[in-house]
Amino acid sequence: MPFHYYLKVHFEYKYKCNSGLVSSNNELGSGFFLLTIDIGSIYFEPAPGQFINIYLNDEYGYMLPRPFSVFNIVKYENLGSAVQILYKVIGRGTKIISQLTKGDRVEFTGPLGNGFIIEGEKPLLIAGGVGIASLNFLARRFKENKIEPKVLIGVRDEMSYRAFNGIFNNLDIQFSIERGELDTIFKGNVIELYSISDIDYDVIYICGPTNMLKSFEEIYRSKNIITKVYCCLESRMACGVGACLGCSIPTKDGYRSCCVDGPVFEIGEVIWKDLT
Amino acid sequence: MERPNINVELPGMRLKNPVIAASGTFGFGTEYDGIYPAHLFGAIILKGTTLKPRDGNPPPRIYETPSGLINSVGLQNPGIESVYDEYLPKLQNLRESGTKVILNIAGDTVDEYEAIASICEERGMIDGIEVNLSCPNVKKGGVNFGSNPDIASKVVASVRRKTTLPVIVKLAPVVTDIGKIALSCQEAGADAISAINTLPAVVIDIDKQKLFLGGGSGGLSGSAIKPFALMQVMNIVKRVSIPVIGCGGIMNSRDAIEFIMVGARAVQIGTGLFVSLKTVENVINGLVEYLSSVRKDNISQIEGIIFNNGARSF
Ligand SMILES: Cc1cc2nc3c(=O)[nH]c(=O)nc-3n(C[C@H](O)[C@H](O)[C@H](O)COP(=O)(O)OP(=O)(O)OC[C@H]3O[C@@H](n4cnc5c(N)ncnc54)[C@H](O)[C@@H]3O)c2cc1C
Ligand SMILES: Cc1cc2nc3c(=O)[nH]c(=O)nc-3n(C[C@H](O)[C@H](O)[C@H](O)COP(=O)(O)O)c2cc1C
Ligand code: FES
Repeated sequence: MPFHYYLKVHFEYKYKCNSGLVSSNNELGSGFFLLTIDIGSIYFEPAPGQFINIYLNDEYGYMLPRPFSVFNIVKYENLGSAVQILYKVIGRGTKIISQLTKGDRVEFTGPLGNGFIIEGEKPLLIAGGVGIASLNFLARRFKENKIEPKVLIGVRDEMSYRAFNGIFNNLDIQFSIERGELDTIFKGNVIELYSISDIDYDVIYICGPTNMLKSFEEIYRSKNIITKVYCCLESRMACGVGACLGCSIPTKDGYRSCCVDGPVFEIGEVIWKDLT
Repeated sequence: MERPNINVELPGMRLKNPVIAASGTFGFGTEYDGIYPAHLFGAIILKGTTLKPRDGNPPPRIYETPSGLINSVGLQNPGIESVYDEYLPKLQNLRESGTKVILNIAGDTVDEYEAIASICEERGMIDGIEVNLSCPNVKKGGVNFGSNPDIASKVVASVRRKTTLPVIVKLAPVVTDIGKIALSCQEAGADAISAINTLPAVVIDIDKQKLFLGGGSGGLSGSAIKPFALMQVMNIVKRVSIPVIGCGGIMNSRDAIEFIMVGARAVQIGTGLFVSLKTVENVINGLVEYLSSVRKDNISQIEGIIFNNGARSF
C-alpha cells in the first residue's frame, strides 16, 4: 500500500506553541525594552517564574531561540490578552528582538519551566537588573492575594534607574545603584542593600545574574538563614523543553535541566560552587 | 501529475518520509510533545544511550557561533535499562502511527556496545539501532572508535552478532578517509551509514582566560558544517552499496535536497529543530514541491543525481 503524504503537512500547535503580533516594543532607556505581544484569545496562563522561548527564525544566522521570563500578562477588556517581556539588549538576538515593530509576528514556545511556589505572608523579592522581570509578575500575583511584597532592585547606573522607575507602579520598591550618585538611593549592589536592610520577611524570591545569586548564597550560608529561598536561574538553552540536555544545573540530585526542572530552584538544591 | 512519492526504503524499514530527528536533539521522543509532533518525522533517533547511566559534562554545555551551535552535553542518559523501562513504552503509539523509532547507542568499549545490542535484541520495542562511533575507546587510550577502519569494524561486527535489528552506523566526521571506514563498516555487517556527527570545536572565554565549555571541547553542528557534511556524504556514497543517511546543517528543503542529490537516501535534522518550529514541515513540503517542479514522481529519481551529471568524489 503506498503511503499517502499530504502535499501540505498541517498540524495544530497545541499547548505550548504560540505566536502573536507585536503591539508595542518600547525602549525604556539604557538598553532596556518592554515588548508586548498580543496573543488573542488562546489559552495562555503562565505562572510567575515561567518563561517563553522566542524564535528568531533566522535560519542561516542566529540559530537558537532566546528565553525570557514572563514580565506580565495584560488582559484586554474585549477578550484576548498580551504577554509582556522586559529585556535588555546584550547581544545579537536581543538586538533583533529590539527591532521588532508593531504588527510583526513573533513565534514563541511557552509557558515553559516550573514557576515559583507562592507561599508566605511577608515575601521579600530581590532582583538584579532585568531579573525583576519574573519577580514583577510574582509581585502582581501576591498583590492579587492581598499580600504586599517588599521588592529590592539593583541597577547599574542612573540611566537604568530611570528606565525602571515608572514601570513598577504601586509596588513597594527600594533601589540600589552601583555607579553614580542619586540622593535617597542606596549606593552599592542589591545584595549589599539586602545585608543592611531590616525588612521583616518569611520567604525570599531572588532572580538575577549568576554572580549576584552566588554572593547572596554566601551570605545565606554564612548567616545560617533558615527562610525558604527560591532562586530563578539562567542557563544557556537550545530546545527549552528538556530534549537537548544543554541547560544543566548542578544540583544535589545530579544535573537537572534549567528549562524543565527549573528555572526556579530552592537555594539548597543547587550546588553553587559548580554553577557557572 | 500525481503527488510525488517521498517515502524511502532503508534496510528493514520503510520511512513515510526521509526526514529523521537526529540523535541528541529530540531527547527520548516525548519532550517536544505538543510543540514538535514526533509523528511528522519518518523516524526519530533517541539520545545516545549507554549501558549504565551517565551524568554528561559539566555546564556550560551550549554555545552559539555564527550559523552554528557547539555543544558539550556529553552522553548524559539514564542507561539502557531505564530507557526501556521509562521511555520506550511511551513511543509505541508513535511506532504504530508509522514513525520509526531508532535507538542511538554509545560505549567506552567494544563489549559495552555488544552488551547494549543484546539488550535491544531481547527487549525489542525499536525499529533499528544507530551505532555512534564518535566515542573514545577507553581501552585504547581514548582513540575514537570511528577514527580507524579496524576498530570501527570490530564494533560493528560485535553489534551485528547480537542483533537482527537494522544497524545504522554513524561515522565520526574528521578522519583521513571516511569512505574507507564506511566500507569496513559495510563489510562488518552494517545495514546503513549515517554521517556526519558534530565536528570537534572549542570556545575561549576571554574574560576568564580559559576554555568556555564545561567539557573543555564540544561538537559543532548547524549550517556552518553543511558543506563539509555534504562532501563526506559524497565520499561515503562513492564507496559503499548500502544506503547513506545525510546529516549536518539541514535547515530547509533546499539543504535536504542537496544531501539527497549527493546520494543520501534520507536525512537527519538536529540543530535545525531548535531554530524554528516549522523546520520539518517546511522540509517535507519543500521537497514535495521541488519534485513536482522538476517533474519527478519519486524522490529516488534525484538520489545521487550529481553523479549522473559528472561529479566524482574527492
Ligand atoms: C529562564 C531565563 C529567563 C530569562 N529572562 C530574561 C528576561 O526576562 N529579560 C532579559 O533581558 N533576559 C532574560 N534572560 C536572559 C536572556 O535569555 C539573554 O539575555 C538572551 O538570550 C541574550 O541573547 P543575545 O542573543 O542578545 O545575546 P548573545 O550573548 O549574543 O547570545 C548568545 C547565546 O547565549 C545565550 N545567552 C546569552 N546570555 C544569556 C543569559 N544571561 N542567560 C541565558 N542564555 C544566555 C543566548 O540565548 C544565545 O544562545 C533569561 C534567561 C533565562 C535562561
Ligand atoms: C545538543 C546535541 C546533542 C547531540 N547528541 C548526540 C548523541 O547523543 N549521539 C549522537 O550520535 N549524536 C549527537 N549529536 C549530533 C547530531 O545527532 C548530529 O549528528 C549533528 O548535530 C549534526 O547535525 P545538525 O547540524 O543537523 O545538528 C548531538 C547534537 C547536538 C546539537
Ligand atoms: S534547553 Fe534543551 S534541555 Fe533545556
